[in-house]
Amino acid sequence: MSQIHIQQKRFDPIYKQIEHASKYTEEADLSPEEIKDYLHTRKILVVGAGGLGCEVLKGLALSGFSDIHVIDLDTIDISNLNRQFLFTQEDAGKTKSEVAAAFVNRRVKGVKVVPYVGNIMDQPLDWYKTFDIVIAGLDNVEARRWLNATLVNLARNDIMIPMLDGGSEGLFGQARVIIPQMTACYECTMWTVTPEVTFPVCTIASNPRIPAHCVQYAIMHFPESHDGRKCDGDRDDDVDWCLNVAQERAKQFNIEGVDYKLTLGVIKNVIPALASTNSIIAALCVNEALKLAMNLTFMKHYLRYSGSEGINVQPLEMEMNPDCIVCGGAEISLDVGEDETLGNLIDRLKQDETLQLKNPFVIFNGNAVYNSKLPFTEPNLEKTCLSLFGKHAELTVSDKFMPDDQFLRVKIKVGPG
Amino acid sequence: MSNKDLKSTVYDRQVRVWGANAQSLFENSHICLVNASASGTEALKSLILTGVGAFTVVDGAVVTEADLGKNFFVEEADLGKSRATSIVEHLKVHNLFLKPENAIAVHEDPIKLLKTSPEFYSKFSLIIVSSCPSDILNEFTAFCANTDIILINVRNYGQLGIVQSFVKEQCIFDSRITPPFTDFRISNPWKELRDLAESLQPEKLDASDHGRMPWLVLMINALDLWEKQKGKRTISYQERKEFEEMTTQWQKAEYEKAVASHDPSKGNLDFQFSPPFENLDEGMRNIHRLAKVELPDETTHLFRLLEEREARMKTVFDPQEPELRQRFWVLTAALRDFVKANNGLLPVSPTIPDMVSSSLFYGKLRQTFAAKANADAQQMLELTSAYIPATGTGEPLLVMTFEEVYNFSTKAGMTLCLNYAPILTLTEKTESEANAARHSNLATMIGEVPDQVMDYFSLYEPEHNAVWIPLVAAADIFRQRHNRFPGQANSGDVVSEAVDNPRHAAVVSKEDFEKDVEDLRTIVQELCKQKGLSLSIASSDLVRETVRFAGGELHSVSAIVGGVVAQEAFKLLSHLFLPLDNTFVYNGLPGVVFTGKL
Repeated sequence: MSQIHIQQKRFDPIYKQIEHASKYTEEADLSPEEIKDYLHTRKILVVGAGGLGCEVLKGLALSGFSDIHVIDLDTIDISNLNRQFLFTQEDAGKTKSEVAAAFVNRRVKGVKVVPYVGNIMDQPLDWYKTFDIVIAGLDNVEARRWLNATLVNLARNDIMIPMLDGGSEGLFGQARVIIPQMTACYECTMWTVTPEVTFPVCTIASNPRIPAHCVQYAIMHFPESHDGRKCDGDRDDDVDWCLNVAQERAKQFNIEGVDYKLTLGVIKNVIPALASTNSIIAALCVNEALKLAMNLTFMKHYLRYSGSEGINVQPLEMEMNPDCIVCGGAEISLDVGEDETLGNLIDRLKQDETLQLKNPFVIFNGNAVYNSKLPFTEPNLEKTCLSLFGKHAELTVSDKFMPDDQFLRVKIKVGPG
Repeated sequence: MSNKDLKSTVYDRQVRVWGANAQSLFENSHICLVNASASGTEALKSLILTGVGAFTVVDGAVVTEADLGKNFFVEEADLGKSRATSIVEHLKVHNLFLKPENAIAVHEDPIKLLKTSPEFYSKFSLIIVSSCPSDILNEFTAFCANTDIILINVRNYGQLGIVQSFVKEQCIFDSRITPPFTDFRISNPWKELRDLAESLQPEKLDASDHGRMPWLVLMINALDLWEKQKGKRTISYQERKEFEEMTTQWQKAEYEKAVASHDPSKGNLDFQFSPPFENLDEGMRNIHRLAKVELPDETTHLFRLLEEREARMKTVFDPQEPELRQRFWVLTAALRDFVKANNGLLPVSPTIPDMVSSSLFYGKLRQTFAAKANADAQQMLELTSAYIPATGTGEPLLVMTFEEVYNFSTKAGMTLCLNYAPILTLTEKTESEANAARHSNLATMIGEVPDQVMDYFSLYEPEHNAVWIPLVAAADIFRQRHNRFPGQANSGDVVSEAVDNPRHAAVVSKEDFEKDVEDLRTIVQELCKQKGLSLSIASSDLVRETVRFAGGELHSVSAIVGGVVAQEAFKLLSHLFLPLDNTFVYNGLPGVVFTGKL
């Protein structure tokens, strides 16, 4: 049997949709044969080879994609095995991307998955440029923001790479399509991201009430007896130490329920994860990739799946934010009080829910005015904005999730109170 | 690592979601997959990863090239071999703890098996039927209604994914609805809670303790003061401001008095820490909890079901039923008696949220709730005995542990029972009256299909996606008549026994395609006429879309519905969370979803 004949048999249901036009086909001057070629030759990057990543790799390999790349810096842990089905017990300790790629290459003939071990932020921009579609199966907001900003940046230079972003937690998950500079980007809808819950220090230090408070107390005091080193949830000794201290504290305050599971959960900020939810979310992303590659219309909204009360699927319409710090005008104006310090100003920027800056650094007239990594800028936090910048000024603000050449312009105007 | 430690590590991330009880209930299940289609296999894969203790795949087909294109759990070496066997071999490695004898492949036509030896299917806890046309699905529904087995139907048809569930009676021990049902009993505290509140009235506190009072205690006392002033314990929406004002003034006045008489030997006062305190803010945010909590509708409904059951069966306890259901109804009967004996109140739950307060006060409050939850559960336990008959030797037929009763009684506002309608199908047969009513409901959901189908599938009218149910049913009728799905090649070279296997590998000419569109249109028209659905379905472009799908499975859509089935199967088997009742439709073209009761 010829290769073409085999392909026709394997991808028949996909080909059938290409061969006959639909109301859902986007305008294009490609013949069905060209679209088939187009689909088979797209170069796809999968970011993360975890719960979503494993599912995405499987999905892509069976959707006609053959040039697949996957990047992850993590190694395999026993607690991955309830959902990351490309790994076995024997793989514990090996790198995720390499084991995942090897499995898919072995199972599906004609597909090539290329693994990379490392941090996405260490890859050069030239590397990202080579992909046609990026699918992100990440477990944290920081990395998503960085990836989103990087792809928007490329789009500004006419290299348009769609990003399909999935996320899952327990019975909940979400999926969306981001076409940089065309649809809302990740940053445009930062308001949908719930900020992390933190406990007030005085509760931890003197009024613990629930088991998590006791574990936080242990984490807080950990560096004192470990040469200033922070507690590491991947080190059994560290977890045991915290468990001990937390249980001691719980006993003192008559609190029940501090056990190993809870302690590990608080230290590592464990996100509960299910095979089923990952399957749904990853496949939603893969189906969008397939539709993009087949020239079909893509999902225009942000889809949130919740399986806890029946099935609740909430579609959110997304609008581009013209003031988005990543894809919009990236300029905001602030009125600043005469005695307002730089420290106050930075706090205001951090508290802004649409910006959600974590650790901003500030540049004025080409000089660093504040950067937490530059100790000599520390004293500026106490100085007033007026003394530092004068009455009117334009500051350049960035954060570690933003690529090097991307900034937020903050125009300030100093006035009384 | 010991095997027990290994197991708890492997399942850690999911047990955090549903707890060890639900996990072990699930592990003791035996799941059957009918047809190893892509969607069915994907569902089973997730369930095996989740740790199901036993599974059986029934499939009479052999592995083809089409399977290699959509199913990850077959490979080239399997071509021509039994599909059931190949899939089971590739799947079983994904549960480390599975006993080899509990991964079963049956290479037989599942439908013939149902007709010749139905008892084969009676041992399963749940049957997943995949890629089956309406008439066969009806037979499985009838079988499951008789044998009390959970049934989930999954179908992937091109960009469409359909999931339908059926359970005769689903008892849910904890629906986990959000926000959860809670009654902190602020308006009607029990004796110990009232005693605690009284001992912590503002006039009795040291100045430093005013801000460390849990809002729950503060509000009990404030409500008492309100009653003294107003002669009632209710606060209308318009009175909220007034109530807040009253409490603020009271707290302030008492705090100032306490400061004046403060004994410095008890420590210095921090004057940055003065009224209004955060506990009042928290209390005002929870002001809706000051009203008397009525019995939830779900519980009232549950008691009505219990009455019907007693009238029908003349007993609560039925030894013929599955044990879990026996327990559910005995506990429900005890709950009804508890509510009667306690002026319409449910047993207390020990769960209170974290709130601004000192460790000491919070601890006292928590202990008061814990003690009451224990006492109520104890009363519940005693009430169950009236419903459990004894054997000849005087032993009870069912032994209830305190832990089990406690788990039930502390979730009392969140237990419920669902009765499902049989899976809705559309066949050429004339319908019963009951089905006719359901078809008219379907007709309302679908409405009229406009010429612009893009607008029809808006985000705001998800129920329009129910239109795919009659369209796929029409494609099944087409297949019965032509021995192939519309859009498939007429002279396909591979015809498999399996119902979901399309004829492959031939480009369908424009003329043939258009002919199929017209033939399908006629069938849709007949079907709509017969079932009272809008004829606009037949004249719309959706018929053409259905032909484009050509009855094939796409791995991506299969994995979406497969995941949905796995979530639902877990919920149904663990009697936890609210399951889907009863239909889910994914329409991949615009990426929208319908869920609802058909």
